[in-house]
Amino acid sequence: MSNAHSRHYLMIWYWLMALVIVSVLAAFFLPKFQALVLIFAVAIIKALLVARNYMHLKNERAIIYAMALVPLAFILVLLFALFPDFVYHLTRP
Amino acid sequence: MNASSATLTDTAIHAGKTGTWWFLASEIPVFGGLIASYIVVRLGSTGWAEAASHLNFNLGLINTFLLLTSSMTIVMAHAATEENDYRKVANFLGLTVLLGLGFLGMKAIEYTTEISNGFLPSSGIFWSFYYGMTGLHALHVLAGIIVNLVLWIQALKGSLARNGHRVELAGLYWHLVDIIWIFLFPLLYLA
Amino acid sequence: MKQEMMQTDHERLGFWKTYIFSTDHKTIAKQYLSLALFWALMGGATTYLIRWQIAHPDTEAPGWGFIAPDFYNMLVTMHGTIMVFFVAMPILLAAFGNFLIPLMIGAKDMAFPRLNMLSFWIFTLASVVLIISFFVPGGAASAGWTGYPPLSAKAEYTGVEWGMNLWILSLALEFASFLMGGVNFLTTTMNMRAPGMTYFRLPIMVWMEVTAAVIFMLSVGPLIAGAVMLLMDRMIGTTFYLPAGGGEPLLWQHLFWFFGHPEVYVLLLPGLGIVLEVISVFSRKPVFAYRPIIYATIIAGFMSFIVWAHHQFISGIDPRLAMPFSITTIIISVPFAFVIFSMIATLWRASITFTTPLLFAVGSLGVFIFGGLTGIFNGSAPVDIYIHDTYFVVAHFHYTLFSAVFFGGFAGIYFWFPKMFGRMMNEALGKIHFWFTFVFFNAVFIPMHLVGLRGMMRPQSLAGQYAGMDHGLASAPWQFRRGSERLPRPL
Repeated sequence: MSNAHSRHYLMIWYWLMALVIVSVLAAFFLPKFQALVLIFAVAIIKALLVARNYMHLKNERAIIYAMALVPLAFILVLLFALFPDFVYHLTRP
Repeated sequence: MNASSATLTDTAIHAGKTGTWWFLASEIPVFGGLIASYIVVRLGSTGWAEAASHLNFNLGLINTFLLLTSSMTIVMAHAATEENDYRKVANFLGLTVLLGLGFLGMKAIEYTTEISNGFLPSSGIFWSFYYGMTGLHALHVLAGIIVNLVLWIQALKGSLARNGHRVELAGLYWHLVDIIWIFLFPLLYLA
Repeated sequence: MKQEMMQTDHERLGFWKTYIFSTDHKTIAKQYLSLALFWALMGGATTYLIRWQIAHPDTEAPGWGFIAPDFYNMLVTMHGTIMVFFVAMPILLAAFGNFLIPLMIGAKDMAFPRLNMLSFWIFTLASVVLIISFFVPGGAASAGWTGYPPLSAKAEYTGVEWGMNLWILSLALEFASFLMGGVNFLTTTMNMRAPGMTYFRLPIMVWMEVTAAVIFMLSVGPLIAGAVMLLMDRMIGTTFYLPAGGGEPLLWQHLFWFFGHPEVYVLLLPGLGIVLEVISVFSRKPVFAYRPIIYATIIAGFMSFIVWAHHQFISGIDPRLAMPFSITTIIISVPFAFVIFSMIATLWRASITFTTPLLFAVGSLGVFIFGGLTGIFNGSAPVDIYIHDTYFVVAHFHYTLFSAVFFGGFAGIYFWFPKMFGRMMNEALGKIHFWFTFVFFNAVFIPMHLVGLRGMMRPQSLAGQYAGMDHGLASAPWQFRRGSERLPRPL
């Protein structure tokens, strides 16, 4: 039974490696904006792969999911609230 | 009369796992805050592309491979605890420790090269963030290596079998450290 | 046979393991309480000197001497730091939480007793570091308890070098200690409730402690990040907050208050919990609207994360942020108002016994209503533009904090003292304690509202020394008040 687990973990690892290579290729061959979008999308996918499969989040109960997602949501609030002050610079002369 | 099972609710998640997840939940805003700060300050500036070009892309890439692989090895160690094969556990934990040390080694090479080329923490705002983010991350990697090292030694001595679930908990922390790097790499090296 | 079994269950542990390195939650709670009461005396000493300087500027304080402006800055900084982090947090969260949670949920001890002990000793280490900061050359931190850069980011701006670095280190240790405590509280409550104790059968005190712990765990991260950045600016020359190097001072403010605002609710909720428990006992009635209070508290907990910029209305933030944050700030008063009404409803038509704990609890309730109402003025950006950084704000937060920490805290101490120590406290002395506290607290802080509205600024060692600022501001809020008196009163 654990053999199946091990094979599964190895599969995920192959995917992770492949995704890294995709990011690197994108950085070198795609124009700047598309490269950035692809690279960050890939980063999110890699993070999800690790979280769901290696951290077993997909087998855990909702409360554990909440412990991971709620802090992330708050950080996103912080991120977007900082945009007016730091990205748009309206308060600078 | 077994006091512990009388007070533990039937459907509860094991205390160690709950505790570890709460710890991770508190770590996410630490790096989240740091990364969010980096993102907004960078987006609000001229882009820092010149400064970022001095980073060693190859070493960063190697570090990504090292850390992702170490995530795989530590979850394999966890799978081995469920098979009760503690020699396998020890092997995979040992691999994880080595990969982690490799990561720190690469970082050390990077830092020394950058510093000797004159790129200090005081060299500008990009470098402040670079050293801050990777430095804090590296400290977390070091802490993880120490934990994994202790578990590895316990696996070799045979005393880990009583507390095999600890490998999973150490793994959870280690995976978080890996996930943070998954974001740090593109933010610093690819953007 | 049974006798033997019981006797072997409790081996004698010896002095060190019983009183110093104890893993028993009740002992650890008392350790936190003792250390916090020591810090309360230290904080009180800073209070004495601050108030002497304000009342009799540039004269010698009896028992101390002259208070230089730099020293005054250090006093107000340490007053805030000590009271918030070394008095309020340990009493309300660590002491009461540690003592009550396992007892109230029917558990033998916390989920991680050794982690609990470690958290106390790290807190002690944080205390030692803070004490040392007073004695290093340059003295203790003096950039305000909020530590705004650029003032705090370079040693030459305040003249304080190691004092400020140790301040950051001390707070980092304190955060680590309370994060460990939070892990303990939450895991214990989730995993170790007695059979049949569902979440909605928990005593309200446990709900308040748990919600406070969650808020703390999730909010402290960005400040830890910010503090690491500040320490790096000070020690290795990074420029996170220094404009000359491309940095942003405003960034610290956002990171600090993203934690700072939820933190005040971390302090408030246990106080509310104590008051609810005490009122319920001495009214001989169950808490009114138990479940809605819990929902209100959870909603307030979520909302506490989206109000923080109301501390920064005049700091140079994007003006478009003022409206959304004003709105969220006003809305967050609703769930708390609900809790206050529930307290009153619990007392309504009840069979009340005015013991010392109840006096403190009702005092807390009254004082909080005052503080909450002034909060509405502060939270509304157009008004805040005039009253920010005046003594009106000082009055506001002392009302709300005293309510939770001193009135709530003493209600809890008087109420649970017999449980903790096996004896009753003296009722007569307790009543005298309450009345002195209540009367003199109001005597000190009510006038602060008035002088604040007239423009007295904080934190200056010599009130009125910046004549232009005071004068210019004094007329505006005064006119605002005069004008508002002419508005029709809503009923």
